[in-house]
Amino acid sequence: MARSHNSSPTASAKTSSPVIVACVIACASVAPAQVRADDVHERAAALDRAGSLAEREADPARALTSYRFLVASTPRTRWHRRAERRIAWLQARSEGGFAPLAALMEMQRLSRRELTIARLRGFERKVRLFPEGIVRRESRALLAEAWLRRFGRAREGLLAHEAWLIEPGLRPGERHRAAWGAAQARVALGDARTALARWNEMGIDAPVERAWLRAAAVAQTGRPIAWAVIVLFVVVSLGLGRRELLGRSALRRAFSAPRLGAASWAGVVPVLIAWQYDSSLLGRFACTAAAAMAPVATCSWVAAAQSERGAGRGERWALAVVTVLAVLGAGFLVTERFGALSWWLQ
Amino acid sequence: MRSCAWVFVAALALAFAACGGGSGGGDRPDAGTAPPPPPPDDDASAPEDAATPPPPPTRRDAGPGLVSHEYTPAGCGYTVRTPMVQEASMGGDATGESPTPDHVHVSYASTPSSSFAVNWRTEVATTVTRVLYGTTRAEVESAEGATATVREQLGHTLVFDSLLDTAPPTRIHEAHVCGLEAQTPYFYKVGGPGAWSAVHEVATAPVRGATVPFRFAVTGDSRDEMHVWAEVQAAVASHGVDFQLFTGDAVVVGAVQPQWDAWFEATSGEARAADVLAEIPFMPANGNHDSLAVGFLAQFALPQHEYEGERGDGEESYSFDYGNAHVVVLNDFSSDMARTAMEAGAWLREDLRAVDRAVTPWVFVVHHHATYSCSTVHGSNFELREAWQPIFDEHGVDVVFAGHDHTYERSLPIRGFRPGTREGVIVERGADGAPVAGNGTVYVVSGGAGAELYGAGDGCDHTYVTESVRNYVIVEVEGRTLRHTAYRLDGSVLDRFEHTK
Repeated sequence: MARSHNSSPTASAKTSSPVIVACVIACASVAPAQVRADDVHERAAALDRAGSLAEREADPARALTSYRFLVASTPRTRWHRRAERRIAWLQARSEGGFAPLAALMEMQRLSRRELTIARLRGFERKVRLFPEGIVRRESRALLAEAWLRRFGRAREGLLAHEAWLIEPGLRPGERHRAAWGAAQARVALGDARTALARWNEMGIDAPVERAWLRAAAVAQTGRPIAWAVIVLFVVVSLGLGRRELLGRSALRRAFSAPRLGAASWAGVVPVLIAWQYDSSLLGRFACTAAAAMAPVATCSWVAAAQSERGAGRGERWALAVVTVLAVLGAGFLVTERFGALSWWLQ
Repeated sequence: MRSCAWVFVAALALAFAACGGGSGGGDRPDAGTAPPPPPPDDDASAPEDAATPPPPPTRRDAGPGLVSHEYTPAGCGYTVRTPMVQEASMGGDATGESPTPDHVHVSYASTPSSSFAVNWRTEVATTVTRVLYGTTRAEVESAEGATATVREQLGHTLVFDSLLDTAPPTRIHEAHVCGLEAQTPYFYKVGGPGAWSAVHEVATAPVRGATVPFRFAVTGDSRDEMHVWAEVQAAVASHGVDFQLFTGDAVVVGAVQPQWDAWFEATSGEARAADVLAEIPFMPANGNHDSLAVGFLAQFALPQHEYEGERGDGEESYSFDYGNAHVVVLNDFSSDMARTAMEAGAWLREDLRAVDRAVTPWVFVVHHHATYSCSTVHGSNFELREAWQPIFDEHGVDVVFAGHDHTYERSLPIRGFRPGTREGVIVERGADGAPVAGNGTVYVVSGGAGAELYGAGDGCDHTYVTESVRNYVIVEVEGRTLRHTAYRLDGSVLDRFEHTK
């Protein structure tokens, strides 16, 4: 009665039911003690298939029955270790008489299109009623990651990650993921400083993540400053240029073709090399390029200041300082944009 | 102005230094790690004919301070050759002060239905290298040597230095167990009298062509976060897979042994990678970060008499049969990608030509650099695509698994190129984007077992699904039906398709 081991799962699905599983088990149990090795494997495979099918149908109790029967009723085959692993996995998640696990399995098997916000909210309500245990922890994980990563909802994601974080018995890896998700949600909500502070309070040894959060916090402060000095540079240079005190010729000298060429070489060539060599290195090369812009700006400043002796010292210094600040601001934005800031801060 | 130029040059140098010297900085061995020296040409390294009597173990001098050991494990009929290391020989009798093995892990180095291989680590002073195995756990547990029901196999041991740091030398042991029954669970322990490991269980494969169901996992790019790696391994084990394919980049720098130590010892609460690796055969592809370093070659026993490539002593590309599936693992990393693609491609073509699709209708390929990837970081490798896709097409490869991009991505079924382009032709698709009746190769990127995630991209023409997420894949093969399911680390299904042919 046990189905052929190469019967298609489509056919299996069509005939799947607790009755069929019971038949598989019953037939297996009445088989003679001395059977051919092939028969043993076939019986074990049929029971394994019944267990797998029950799991796909979100029926953990039925799956557990199949696996237990496999272990108890057949000589040891390669199916046993698998069944033992599934039994251990299912038993560890048996809280609430398997109802929470069945609900979680239903959610886990939803495709991307099938998982809607309404379904997620409905599951969230169910999870509040789950008893404490692995299933509730894993349900919290699913909710948190779905809100934040699949739906991009930072606020709901933050709440879900915080609920996950306070679950008792979190493994270190789960705690790390929950804390990291909460931190990312906070950054997405524009509160990088709190994210960094909370991360530090957790005491998780993860230098890459810490650097990323530090970079986010620095960027939160630095970004508006950088834009402000760039705007100031534009205003000052345009203003000076219009008054023709120091402006046009100095600007021409400061940003002459050779100097622009040098700046391009320093700034663009490493990025192009990185692009060709390994695009994942782009951020770091961009950081290098941004850093190289500072000396280029310094050169321009020195040249401009020396070349316009007729101009007032104050104006020359003002332009030079604002130019340097603006280039540094641009460098900061480039560095931050390419993620190299966190690499610097590691 | 001259002084200004000097200021500029000095500042530029400082800027580069501050950024870690450009490509040399950071954690990318692509740029910063010199490849291991190539092996010298040596006719003695040619594989032995299995029909001839096994030669006595030989110890080859492979260069200043480096040796390689070559021998035929009893009952195996194939030769095993170590990479070039500081010390290599058959196991001895010595046990040091802390001789208990760790990092125990299994793989298939020859026919999976009748053999397995096991590696482990001990302190350097311990040279005893034995495996006791049998079909009853209690008998293996109580045995101190071979008995009527417990058999013993001797193996080799080697010592190598970690190249890029000051870690002490590492001693690895390796033993090959052959002549086993197909589809049979075996219990084994490794070490020697007074210093045995725990007893582990590993099962042999169904015979070639058998249509019994089996399932395997695909993982990749574990480097960086070891707790994630441990959780992925626990998840993979909970699915009860028969073996695990790995798409490469286990560690950040393959020549740094402490990184391998952390990889083998990865834990997250009760999840321990070591528990899984000791029981589920692990079949890795070399990644650019592993870089065919001695740490990779010495610590995994892989089929090594099929392909003599650039420098991997045969272990860089290999194939094996598991039931009715043929699995090919390719190395795609070298200093000369085009050459590697061409040479490995020639071997691949011959390997696939020998496959009888009536016996092994399923063909899977594993390598590291994705030929179809939409990720924002690396994306598709067109050199490999041009070199290998025609071979995949010609031989109807079913699924190609790769990593390198730290994402999950699955392509629609692809066969051939659009005229005048390097873009694949998307062929007829069934439910969930699956191939129809074996027409078209599906390209999967699974590189999310611990490395920092990359952007998944907005989706390319070839993409059916992509997501930047930690992931692993479980493939179930049941006769002529394949069931592919990708999972996120939270257990939710990320992608699935079913293909019957």
